[in-house]
Amino acid sequence: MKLSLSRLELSATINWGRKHLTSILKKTLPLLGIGTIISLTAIPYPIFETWIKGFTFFGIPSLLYFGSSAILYLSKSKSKIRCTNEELYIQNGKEEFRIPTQQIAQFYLKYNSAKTRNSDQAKVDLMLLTKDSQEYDCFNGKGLPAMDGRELEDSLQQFLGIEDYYVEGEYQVKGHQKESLIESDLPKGESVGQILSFGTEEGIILKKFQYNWDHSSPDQMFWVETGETLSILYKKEELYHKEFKVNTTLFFREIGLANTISWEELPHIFHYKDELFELIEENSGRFLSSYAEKKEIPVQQKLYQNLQNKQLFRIVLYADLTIEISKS
Amino acid sequence: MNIIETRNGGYLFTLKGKLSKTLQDEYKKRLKEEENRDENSSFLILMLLMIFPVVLIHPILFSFIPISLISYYFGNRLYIKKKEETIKVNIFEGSFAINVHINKSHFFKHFDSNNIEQLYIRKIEQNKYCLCLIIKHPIRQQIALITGNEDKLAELVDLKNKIHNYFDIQEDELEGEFNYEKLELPKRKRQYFNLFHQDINDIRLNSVIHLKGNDHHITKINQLDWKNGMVSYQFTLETEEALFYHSSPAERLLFLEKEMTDINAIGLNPCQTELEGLDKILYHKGTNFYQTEQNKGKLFEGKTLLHDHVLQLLYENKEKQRFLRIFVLDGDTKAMLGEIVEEHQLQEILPETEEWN
Repeated sequence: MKLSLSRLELSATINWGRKHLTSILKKTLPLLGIGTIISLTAIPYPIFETWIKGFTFFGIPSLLYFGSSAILYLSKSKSKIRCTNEELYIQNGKEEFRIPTQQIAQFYLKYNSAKTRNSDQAKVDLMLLTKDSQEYDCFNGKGLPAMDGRELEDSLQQFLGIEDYYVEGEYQVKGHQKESLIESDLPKGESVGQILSFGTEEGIILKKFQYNWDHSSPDQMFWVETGETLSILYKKEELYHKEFKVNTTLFFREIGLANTISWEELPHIFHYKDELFELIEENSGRFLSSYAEKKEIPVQQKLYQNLQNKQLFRIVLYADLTIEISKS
Repeated sequence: MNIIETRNGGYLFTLKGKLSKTLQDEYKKRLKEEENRDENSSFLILMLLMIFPVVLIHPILFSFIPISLISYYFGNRLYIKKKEETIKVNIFEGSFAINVHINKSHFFKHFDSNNIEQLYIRKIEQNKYCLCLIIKHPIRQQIALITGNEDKLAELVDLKNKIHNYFDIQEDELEGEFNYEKLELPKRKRQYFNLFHQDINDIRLNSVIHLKGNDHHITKINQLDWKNGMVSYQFTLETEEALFYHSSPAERLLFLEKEMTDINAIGLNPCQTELEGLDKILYHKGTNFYQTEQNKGKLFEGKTLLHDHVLQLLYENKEKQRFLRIFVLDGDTKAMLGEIVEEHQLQEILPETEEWN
């Protein structure tokens, strides 16, 4: 496998003929070598009286051996894989396959038992998992040596900045069980890289966060780049709320709890700049800061609303430590 | 290593590796008994019969028969010696078995799970490790199972842990046991470099950025992985200043910071390493700083973990223009004073000047 990596592109070429040839040569070359050495002991005998005869007994078997290897080498096809920041392109012989990199959730290796049985190495297939849970076999089950597969998987993931995690049934080359992950429950809908319109504005989604609540349907949050600023949108029940962060200390002072920042002491009703806010919803669950996370981040949220102008206060406690207050 | 959960609730592990010397000897002994009815030898006899008429052309060609036989024998020996076997480890309620297939013959070793005391990994020699098993009956003894080099080590550790988990075996520390420590790595940053639409992820070590009209060279990158899943970066510039990128779900901040030489100025005692009870409002040179966030996380320099639990308090002034970052490192309380950088002030990010990777 030839792997070349630059800042803009990752490309790899796999020559299946060479893979096959090396495995066959490994098996048979010691045999040929020992055979040759033993035959050399026959040199003093009259069988080697002329060079022509010598060639017949030495050269022809060798020629046949290397000739058949060459035919084998040429008859197998090549696979190419190319990855830029926008697209992954795979070519298997004459087949082509393209996928935008935004849709890739994970690469993983699957054990190919049929190919392994006839080989002295473990063989694996490189699988691609998309964010809408579709699976693709990158090389149509041709069976890559495990070490090469691992190298390719690892470089692809590093290139795209994908966190590595354990997929059910994955083959692990270097071992150390990868951690399982928590995937966002609702992969469909808006995804990173898409254009989102809200109110009179629109922008590109930079990041997508998800709150999976224990007792209600998940909410999402987006970072949207509108060209001028970064807008933070909270999506609740198909409605977008544009949010601004409020300083925690100032908030607690404003609602009359000077010199304390504490989640437990949050009241049910508070006055903020002469407006009354009431607690309308209390939730707990887990927070996912990207498509897939290794750790569950426990999160609690209190939602306050002013009943006249429908303004919202969202107070979130992440990992029982960090309090964040947003106003919308 | 491939792990399959079997239908009866057990596990089947498949790995390429080598059996230990003791098991290999046992296996070879058994192989010798089976060798006579090996299919391979019948194939060889058939080949000889086919070649025989050719050999009749010249009497000297007879010599090729012993030559081919000897070379076949040695070649096969060499091949088997080098080849890594496919080892199948099967665990199921009450039983633990190792199963190996070599050239259509197979070797089977079975242990009773009640008989297993524990498994452990031992370093035999340089770059050679062995997975060993201690059994209780008939006498307490150790049996070497699978050997492997450094590449295989992690796999063996996995196997050991999985078996311990499955049979609920209490692990005791043993003399001569090899402890494998897993590296902790920071959250991944993408490797590709955007030519257009650049963002903070494009800043690399030894790269040059154009900030507020000046070119700066990045000399060090620290990464902080926060407990809430967000990431912050500290890009140290050649001027001792640093560009700090902070992200929390509701906000993204970028500020240029410098270490405060005198932290008494904000009412902090350098010996004070407890940040919990710190004032929510700090005063420095005519500005009030209000605490906005406290967060815990892991600090990495490059890919090496420097600190496991770094507590950081973030303060900002009312206009959100100036920032104060306080944290404890190695029993030292440090404070960084920063001023906001608008995103358009960070204009050009050039790729790293030296060879990467």
